Amino acid sequence: MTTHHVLAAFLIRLAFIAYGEYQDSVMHVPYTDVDYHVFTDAAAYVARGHSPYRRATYRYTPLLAWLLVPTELCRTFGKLVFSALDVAVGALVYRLARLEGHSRRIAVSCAALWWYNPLPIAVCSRGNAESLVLCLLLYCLYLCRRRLLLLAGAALGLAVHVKIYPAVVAPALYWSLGEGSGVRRWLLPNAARLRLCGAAAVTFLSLTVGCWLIYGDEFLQETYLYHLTRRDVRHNFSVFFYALYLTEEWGHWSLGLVTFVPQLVLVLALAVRFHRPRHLLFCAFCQVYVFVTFNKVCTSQYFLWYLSLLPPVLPRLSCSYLEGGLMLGLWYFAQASWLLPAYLLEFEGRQVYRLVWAESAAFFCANVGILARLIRKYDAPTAAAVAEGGGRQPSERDQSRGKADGEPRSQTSRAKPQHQQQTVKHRNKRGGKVN
Amino acid sequence: MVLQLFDDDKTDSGPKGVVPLISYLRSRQPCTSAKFQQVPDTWQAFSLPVKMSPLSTALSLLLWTCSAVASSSNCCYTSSAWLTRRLEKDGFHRDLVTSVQLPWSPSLADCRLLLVERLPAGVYADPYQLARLPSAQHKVLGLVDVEAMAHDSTWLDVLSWVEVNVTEGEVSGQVTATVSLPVHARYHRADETERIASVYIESPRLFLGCDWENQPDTQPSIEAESPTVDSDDCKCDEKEPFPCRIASDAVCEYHAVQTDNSPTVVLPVPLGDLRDLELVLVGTAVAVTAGTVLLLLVINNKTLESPARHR
Repeated sequence: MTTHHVLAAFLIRLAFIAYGEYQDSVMHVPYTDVDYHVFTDAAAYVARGHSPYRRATYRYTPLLAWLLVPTELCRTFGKLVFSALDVAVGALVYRLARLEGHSRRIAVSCAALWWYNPLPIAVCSRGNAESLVLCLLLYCLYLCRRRLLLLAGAALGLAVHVKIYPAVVAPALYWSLGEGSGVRRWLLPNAARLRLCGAAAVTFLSLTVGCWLIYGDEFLQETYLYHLTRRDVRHNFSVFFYALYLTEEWGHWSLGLVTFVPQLVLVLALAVRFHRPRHLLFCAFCQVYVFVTFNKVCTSQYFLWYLSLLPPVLPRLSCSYLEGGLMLGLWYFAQASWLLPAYLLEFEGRQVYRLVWAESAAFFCANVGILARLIRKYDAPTAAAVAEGGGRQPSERDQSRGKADGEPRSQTSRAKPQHQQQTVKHRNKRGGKVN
Repeated sequence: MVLQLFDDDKTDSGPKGVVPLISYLRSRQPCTSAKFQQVPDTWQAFSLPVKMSPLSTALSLLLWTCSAVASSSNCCYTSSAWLTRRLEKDGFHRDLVTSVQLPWSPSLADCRLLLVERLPAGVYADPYQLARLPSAQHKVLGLVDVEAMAHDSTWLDVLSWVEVNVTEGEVSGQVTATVSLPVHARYHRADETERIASVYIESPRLFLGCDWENQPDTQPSIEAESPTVDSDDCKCDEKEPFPCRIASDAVCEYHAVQTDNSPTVVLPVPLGDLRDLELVLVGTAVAVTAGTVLLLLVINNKTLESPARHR
């Protein structure tokens, strides 16, 4: 059944790619994103033996330019690769949902929320490379849940090399592998942690050093340092944009680092609270959501970073359809209300900076509110409670899908021993019941 | 000026009679010098191997002039152009449209117009965008930082090639060429009193690059039956080297074309309001702090697994 969906999802993306080629050639407003041209230009440089960083504004790993070298022959090759990876993201959502203990039907519904979602379809058919890092991060989380830690570490190392943001899940992953209590649980490495961290470090360092040896300091500057210290004052969704623009004159690059503090604090707090293996997915979702919302630059591509992590955790959110619909509507409305003054500023030259900033702040508040609500509504049933036969009422969502929570456990035999294993191993200080 | 001779003559057979002939000879001067050489100098430039009688000399001259004119006009264009400039669209992304009107002369055949725009620091042209345009006629000289603010940037030269419409010129006596260059405004520093920054884009310099000027084998040939033109006779001053074609590295000589006017266009760029500074800093800090505290509270109060578990 999933094969049909996979094929359909890929065909839909193909259709949009084809339409995009048509629109590019005929209409005035292009369909293809500027970023795709940046990638293909950099790939063209690489194909001729030069550095991809000769292309201005190319701020990604050289691996991406290498990957896209065939675009010299087939212009849409990159879009095809990104679409395939996007479909793979959906497949990973399905696998993760199954690992979480949900039935095949629920898992397919979760994956369908990605496969047939217009936002990722548009993004990958326009030529954005987000699906590459989304795939890697989801794969890392999947491997962690499967306890294949060497591979998981490698996936994480590669993901962080491609984009920095997957690093936010590292503390949670580390703590999720802890045993015992106290210093042993929170700090000291054990075999599992060594495998994960070792693989991640080796992968990341070898990639970084390798690329640095080939491309020099320019690689470090464009791929990493730029993102850490950039103070992009042009208008974007971030609540910080206007403050950064107005203080540009007195700005020091250290100001760019101050904005990292709330992100750091919240990411760590989430990791402390939700690092248990069974909450790992929700933890990752919240951490990336916080990272994007509190970031000093925020564009619409970033939304996919956390939206890809939402479908597998959706069944565990005890929101009604109405509530979920309202939150989604609020999120879209806040975006649209930002886009209006942004359009007036950029394409009509009106003096509406204050309004754009107000909308950025409103969007920020909406996101904080939505995340707070989602955290409150995250209802994680314990294996023990389920084994006792209904320690928790099935959420309205599960009920509407005609599934009680107890049922899926029997189908996912792999998940079960893992949970039982951890029930035995993990006991907190107070000796209370744990997952 | 003197080439108006040819403007009236549509048949392109050259001047008739000796008096127009001498005027024509006078006209074949370096482009920028307005003075005329004495006719004897011109006579000397075209030296005959055999002393001929004045009548046959005149007839030969006539023949030479006619053939020279018939083989098209390999001489410096001396008329001046009229420019019309405007900015299309609104906001940060504009099209800079320049119309050049040139009085027709056979000198324009086999020539290309070259506009050299000097864009001020407040705007820029994206070389990658220009390379993707179907018209493929613009080239940016040097490197552009598309993300820099205006005060961190400097001026930029953009070359635009335009073909000259020969048929239009021959028919109407005038050539009009239009060029559209997409430009983008940079972000300017926020200001306390000014709401708008005005970016002044000066008028471009105009050049003409002709094939005859850049042929490697243009030599004066006295022995030939229909003598080719002695290009030394008709050199232009104010020449500058630029790429021959947009895609080639070969350098050709282009000579300047005078313009009768120098229109300037103004691009208004909205500025951030520095009077908002306190409000924005406080507002941002409050929003971010409140958001952080709220989320920390929610995370802290979150009960997982059994209700008995408290943090």
